Amino acid sequence: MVNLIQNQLITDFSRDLLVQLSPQELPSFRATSEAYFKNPEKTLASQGGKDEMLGFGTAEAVTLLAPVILAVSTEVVNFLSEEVQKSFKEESSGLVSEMVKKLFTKFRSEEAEKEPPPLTVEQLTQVREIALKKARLLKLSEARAKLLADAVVGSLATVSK
Amino acid sequence: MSTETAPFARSPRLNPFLFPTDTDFRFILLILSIVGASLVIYQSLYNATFRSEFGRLVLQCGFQKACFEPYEQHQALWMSGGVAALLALAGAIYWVTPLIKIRRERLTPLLVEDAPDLAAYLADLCQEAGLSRPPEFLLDALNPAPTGLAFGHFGRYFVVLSGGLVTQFYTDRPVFRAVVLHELAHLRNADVDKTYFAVAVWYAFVGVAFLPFMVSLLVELVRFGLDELGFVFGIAWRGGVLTAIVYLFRNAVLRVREFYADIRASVWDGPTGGLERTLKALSPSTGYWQAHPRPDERHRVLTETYRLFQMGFGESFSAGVAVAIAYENSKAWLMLLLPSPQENLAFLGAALLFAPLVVGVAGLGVWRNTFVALTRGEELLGMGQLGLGLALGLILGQLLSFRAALGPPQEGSANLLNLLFSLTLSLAWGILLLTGLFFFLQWVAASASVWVGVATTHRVLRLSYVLGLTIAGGLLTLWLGGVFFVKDILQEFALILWTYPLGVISRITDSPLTLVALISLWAFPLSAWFWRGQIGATLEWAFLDSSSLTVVFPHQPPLRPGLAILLGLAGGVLFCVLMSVILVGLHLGLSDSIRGTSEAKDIFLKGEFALAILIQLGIATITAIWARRVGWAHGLCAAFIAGCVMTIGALALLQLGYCVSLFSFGPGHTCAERVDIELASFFFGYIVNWGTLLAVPVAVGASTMTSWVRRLRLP
Repeated sequence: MVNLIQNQLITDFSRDLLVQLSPQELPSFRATSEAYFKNPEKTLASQGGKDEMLGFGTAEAVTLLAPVILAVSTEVVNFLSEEVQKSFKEESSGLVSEMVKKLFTKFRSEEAEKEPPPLTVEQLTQVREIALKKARLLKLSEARAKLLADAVVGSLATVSK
Repeated sequence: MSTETAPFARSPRLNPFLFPTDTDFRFILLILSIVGASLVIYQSLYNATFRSEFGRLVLQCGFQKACFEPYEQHQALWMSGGVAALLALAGAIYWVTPLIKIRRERLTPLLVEDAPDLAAYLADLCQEAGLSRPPEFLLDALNPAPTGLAFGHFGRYFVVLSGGLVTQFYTDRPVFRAVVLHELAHLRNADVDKTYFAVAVWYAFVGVAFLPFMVSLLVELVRFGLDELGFVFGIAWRGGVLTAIVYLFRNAVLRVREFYADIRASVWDGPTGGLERTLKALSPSTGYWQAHPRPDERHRVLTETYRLFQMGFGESFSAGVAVAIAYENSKAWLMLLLPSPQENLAFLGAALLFAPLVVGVAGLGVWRNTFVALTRGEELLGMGQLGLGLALGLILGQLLSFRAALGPPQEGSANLLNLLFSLTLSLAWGILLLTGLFFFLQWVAASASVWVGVATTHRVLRLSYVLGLTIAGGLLTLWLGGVFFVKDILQEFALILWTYPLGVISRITDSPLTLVALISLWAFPLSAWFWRGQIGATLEWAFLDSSSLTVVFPHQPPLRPGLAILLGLAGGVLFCVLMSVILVGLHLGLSDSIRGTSEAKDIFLKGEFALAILIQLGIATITAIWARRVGWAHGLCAAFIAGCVMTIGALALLQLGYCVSLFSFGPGHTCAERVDIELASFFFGYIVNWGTLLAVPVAVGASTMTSWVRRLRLP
């Protein structure tokens, strides 16, 4: 159940990032995310073109961002879960997941007292580092990795100055 | 051929879909060669299983044929059952392959709600492609290469769009469109069923024929020791070669299918579409083991579609190999199936199965080559290469057939003379096969050139090649059946031919099939004369892209069947006049007692036939020289007409002789006697069949020499 909620959060978060960074991948996002949650390693392994009977298409592969975004989102959500867990040790995992969700700008409501406190600058820096590291690990170009990391941070609720 | 330059992005491209593709026949050949190989495997498995029964029969009745008939028929049924199981498994594999592929590669359906704009665009493309039933679109979301793939089974087809390709819908629409159109073209060209069924047959062969066979061979090795090693080795290397042939053959055919899909897609895509750009960006990896042609080759064929019409040595050679592998095995199966008296029909039966396929590959190739040569105003060359390829393929294929491994072992060096004799005969047989196929393809080419010249619409062209190839199929069935029959009794045949050559030729000329074949030889090309009014019509229908160009076939000398008929009639009348004079002369010059002897009657009859044939040969030569186009066909027509008139004349003189003794050779006839149908057919068989058959080399020789001289005289 917790996993389902978390996966849904990762999916929603990733779709938002994809809309910003690579909207042309949206038609295949549902299929990509389903495959990712079934087998993340296989999804992230690069697939080369085969000489298939009756197949046709150019040799130059397009860099698909969706699998990378899903992986980065997973790392980020995991980190956020750990952070929330530290603050609310007594709370159930279901509630923790709900609170993690509320850390994203998109899911926050107007009533601030019902929401968990936003992330600190340090925490946001950590999130950025995690996203950047994962994106680099998945061989995303430096520019796109930075763009992705910034988009991730941009999606999170911050302390208003 | 006249052409004018026109403002057109692409130069006009010949429409390769004017003719059915030879690849269809090559797919069937591929399947039949696998089925043929399995026949011999099941026969061998039967022998291994029922060895004791065979031994019992040998002890019981030696090698009497009749005694083995039930055993052989049971064996044939076993083989049929094996092939039925193989085809059933192949059908099952073909049917479930798409489902396995979808599951294994985690392909997911493209849902309208995921991308309504993309789904609507794909529906439009399917409509543009004229598909009666659109395929189901699937996503291979994790594949970053922008590729498409068509697969499926009858009634349910799929097109897979990779994740990379889907992004191109938004970033590079022309390339996306080109890739999808190419896949839809595969569906429109019905490539999916052929490809996947051929592959399924191969897997089924490996599963239920080749592997059980290898296991049985290993058991034999264990049971009988090293005595069987040579046999096992013979089967094993042939199995390896068969695998390689099937693989290379399949890929060669698939490469050709890619060209056709490119061309069909290019018509929908238009000259400014993204197809050419996509082709240039294809992976350059290539080789005979690849299922795709080189990108530069694809691009060249796309713009110069006439290249797709041209057939070469390799295609006819591979067709020959496939036919030979399957022919020998199918013939053996038919021989087991048929009762003893009809056993020889197996040669014709197997030829009937494979000759149409050979014609479908090589004959169609010749028609296509001829069409291109005429539309481009070029000389038709390379027919000899096709004939050579086919003949060499047929010879080599027999060595590669599993049946060759089951044959009797070679005799020892003590029979070196026998071996040399047998090698010489085999060489002579090979030359006979080669020569026959060479002339056969020349005939197809000559007939095609005449008919293509009068084709004013696609309908007329289709009618002419269907008719021409049907006749060619019939002729080749007779030829191949005869040639392979001769091969099996090579030593006996050589002996009979050596001691009694006329008897052999008589057996050929006596057959009514020979008459039909001889008439077809000249009647088909000359019947194009009825469409003579169409010469000079323009050929817009023969091109893919509408253009302002006016293309017509080059002017060629007209057909002159009237001349052939006239000269034939003249020859016939000459014969009748000469025979009348000879009859009267003999009647007056020789006594009744001399003319009454059977020897004199025999000499007279042979002389009459010899005169008839000589006049036919003379008429054939004159006509072949006179007619400027397909002189040999005119010559054969003239010889045939002359033969018919001569037969009627000879029979009329015979009847006249019964009433008027001056025209009678032998004494003692009465006016009440009548020429009966049996006698008439005897005369017809000798004069017309012998005359026309012997006129074939004469007319062809005269016609070839004349065209050669005419060519030399040209400035």
